[in-house]
Amino acid sequence: MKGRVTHVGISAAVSSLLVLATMQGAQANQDLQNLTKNADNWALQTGNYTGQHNSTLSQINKGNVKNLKAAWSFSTGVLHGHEGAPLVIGDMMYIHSAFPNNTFAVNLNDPGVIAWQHKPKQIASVKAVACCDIVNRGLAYGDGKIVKTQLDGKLVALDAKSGKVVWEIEVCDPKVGATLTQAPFIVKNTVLVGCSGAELGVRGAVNSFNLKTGELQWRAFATGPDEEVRLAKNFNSDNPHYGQFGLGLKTWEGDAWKIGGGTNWGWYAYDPKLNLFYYGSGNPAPWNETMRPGDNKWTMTIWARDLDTGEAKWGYQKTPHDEWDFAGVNQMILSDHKVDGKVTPLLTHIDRNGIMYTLNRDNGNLIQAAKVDPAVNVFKKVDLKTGTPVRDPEFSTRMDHKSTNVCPSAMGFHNQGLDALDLDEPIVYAGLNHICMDWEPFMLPYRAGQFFVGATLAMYPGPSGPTKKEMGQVRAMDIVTGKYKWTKWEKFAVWGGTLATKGGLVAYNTLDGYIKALDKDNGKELWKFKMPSGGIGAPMTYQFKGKQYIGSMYGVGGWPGVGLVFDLTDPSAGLGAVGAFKELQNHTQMGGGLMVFSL
Amino acid sequence: MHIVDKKSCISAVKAALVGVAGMLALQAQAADELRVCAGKDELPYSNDKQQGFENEIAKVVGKAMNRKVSFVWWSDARYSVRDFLDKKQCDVLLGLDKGDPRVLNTKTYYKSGYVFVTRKDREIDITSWDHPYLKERNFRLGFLPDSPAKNMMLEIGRFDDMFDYLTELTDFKSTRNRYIKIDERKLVNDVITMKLHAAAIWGPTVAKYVAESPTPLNMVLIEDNATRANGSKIPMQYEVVMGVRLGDEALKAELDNAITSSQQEIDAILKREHIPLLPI
Repeated sequence: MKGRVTHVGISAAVSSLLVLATMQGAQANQDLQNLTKNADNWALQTGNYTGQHNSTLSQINKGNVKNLKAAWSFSTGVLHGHEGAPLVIGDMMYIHSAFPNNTFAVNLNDPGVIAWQHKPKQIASVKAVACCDIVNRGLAYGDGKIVKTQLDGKLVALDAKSGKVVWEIEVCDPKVGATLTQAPFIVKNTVLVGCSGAELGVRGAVNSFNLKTGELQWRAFATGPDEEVRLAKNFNSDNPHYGQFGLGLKTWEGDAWKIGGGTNWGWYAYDPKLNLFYYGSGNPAPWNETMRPGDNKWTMTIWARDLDTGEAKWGYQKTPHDEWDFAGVNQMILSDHKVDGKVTPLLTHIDRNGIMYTLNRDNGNLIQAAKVDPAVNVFKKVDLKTGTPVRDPEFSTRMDHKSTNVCPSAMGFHNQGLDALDLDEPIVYAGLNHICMDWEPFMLPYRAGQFFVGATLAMYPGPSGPTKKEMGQVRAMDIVTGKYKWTKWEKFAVWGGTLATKGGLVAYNTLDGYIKALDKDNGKELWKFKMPSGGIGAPMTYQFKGKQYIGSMYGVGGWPGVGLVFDLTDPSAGLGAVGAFKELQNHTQMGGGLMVFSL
Repeated sequence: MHIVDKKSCISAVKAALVGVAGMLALQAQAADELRVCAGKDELPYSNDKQQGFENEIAKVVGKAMNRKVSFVWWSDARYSVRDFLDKKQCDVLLGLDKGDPRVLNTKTYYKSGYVFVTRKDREIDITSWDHPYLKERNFRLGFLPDSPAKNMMLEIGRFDDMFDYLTELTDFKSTRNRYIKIDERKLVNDVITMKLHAAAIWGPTVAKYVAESPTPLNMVLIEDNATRANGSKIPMQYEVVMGVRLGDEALKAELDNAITSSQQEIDAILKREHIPLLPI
């Protein structure tokens, strides 16, 4: 991180105008929360600060969804995987693309015209650094600015009206393997963002930047000394058994924490009452677990941090000493529901490891840790008293152990998708992967004492589907009890997540290109439409001039699509994804853009 | 794991049980040809244009055996034994370490060692892992993944400092489940451009590039005194053998004779390559 701030295009002549705009913007930004409360907008990737990814709009509903038609569409001109969704603020829509990370603004009064576009120049070589396609998870809005991330590690603020660059800073250095794919998260005057690249030894951190100036306010690492991890004095005082102080060093051998990974490239949530924000740190590095004995704290951790200081109030490590690559960066869903008869502030997180965790988001108390599918076998269970998972050594991925039918695979049963929580009930509509794997380690002599050390990952459908060929499902689950309500199986992984609306619908995309709407009560399919290319993001919804729209990015790619987008044929390539998704090429091809539907 | 000892004793017994007549028949069938398993794109050792020094050595040995040499190309070094030699696509592999349990070893045909490569004008005078320079955090030392040099970097607590360089060498790809051929010339070039202070690497891999560098470079054999904290040795010198299928005693014997009779020619090839040779 260079911390270099580049102000672009601020000349003395226009500065007075800008000051005016900024003042208005500041006011508007304090109301970003209000913007998200107006269901006409879709102002955050997660829909709102709770991360519930749902909407109170009900014009499109169970009764009429069968009449849903394509209203308009938009090509981003970029072929690779499109995660995330567009934003809608008032009459403007903002659309992102995969690398080269172009941004387009469209006035909804005339979506056939591009109001402005921002096409950054990036060195093509950064593409090599990204692990799993060259995706981007979308834009953020605040203070009259669109804030975007670029794969080359830059965080850029654009004027939302003109698309002109307001500031630009370098956050991650691709030269050491760090890239930027995350959607920034804006709260008040703060932009939160983290780098990708844990596997390459990037030391993970969450960074807080000043929305107005782009200056770094604080940074909290996932590993290392307590002051750099920014632990509050009372850190984990409610749950000392989660671990408290000195562990960012003590749970590593030597200086290995410096290359220990734990990056965060997933989603954030924010509780204005507690002024805490929540996110997950990712997998430890290097991948070969024998190189990093110990719990490797605080990788794979659910964090609750103070928005203003970055200090951690609590942290819960889900997967100590990860062996599977279960990067724990997934979505955090905040809600208030009854536990043992008492309304409790909850945080729900469906992890890559196949466990859905529900905690008290105020103090970190673990309330529930349920398997999202009975096939999960890497853990027998999670001990709710101690918070530690009970491993099954048979399904561990040690360097001296060949294991078969490991569930979940390295992709996890849940990846970067944004899932919806029901508007009323404690039910999450989880878009899940259902892929297991064989892990075959190898250590083969080469020359002069040199070895090839690695493992072949073969991925294939898990055992639970009705034909045992299903690789995905949407499952309605109770976040407090962990009970399943209904399940809708899919041929391919449901990678992007779900959207729930007051109209009683659960909408999601499939890897082979369908956008579908289910009845939220029973999972029955009510509507589907085949998009030009597979979907790896979740749908969003907005209302414009009294009419509800459902929008969705399309563009197959990401980790499940790496075989397709890079034309790989070796089944174990793309971290084993190629084999599992070989058939995808018969269903869809590359192509990125946006589809918008209305009645 | 694949490395599990092939049960060499059992194989040997099996081989002995195969009738002598059978062995003779097999031999007669292949006697006019020496099928060499060789890297398709593994310079300086071998490539499919036969420009590597192992291609030359194979031809010299083939001539001594009075056999025509044919090359069978593999492109993934991890599986050269499993998918080529063991599946009888070819009969001999060059460039293996003495003692490789996967194959029946021929006699040693050369011995060399790990070297430190530095720029002459920088006067970085290191010859052993004991040198204090190597312990300095900002001393940039290049090495290959999972090599004895990597093990020594772990031993002296310097591995983490160079982790970023390793990821760059593998083009930011994880080596977990793929074969990544690293062009060792990059390490030499990085010494030349002073991106590295030194490279610690198997001499035969870079000898030619060092000798041909327009910027004068030093290449010194690393003292073979490196040990782990527990006292076990991390060898810096290796004897190089050819490998045939376990049990293929006849071919081994034939190759041993050929190596003996063409040792001078083999040495000449290695010297042309500027490879530092140690007495066998």
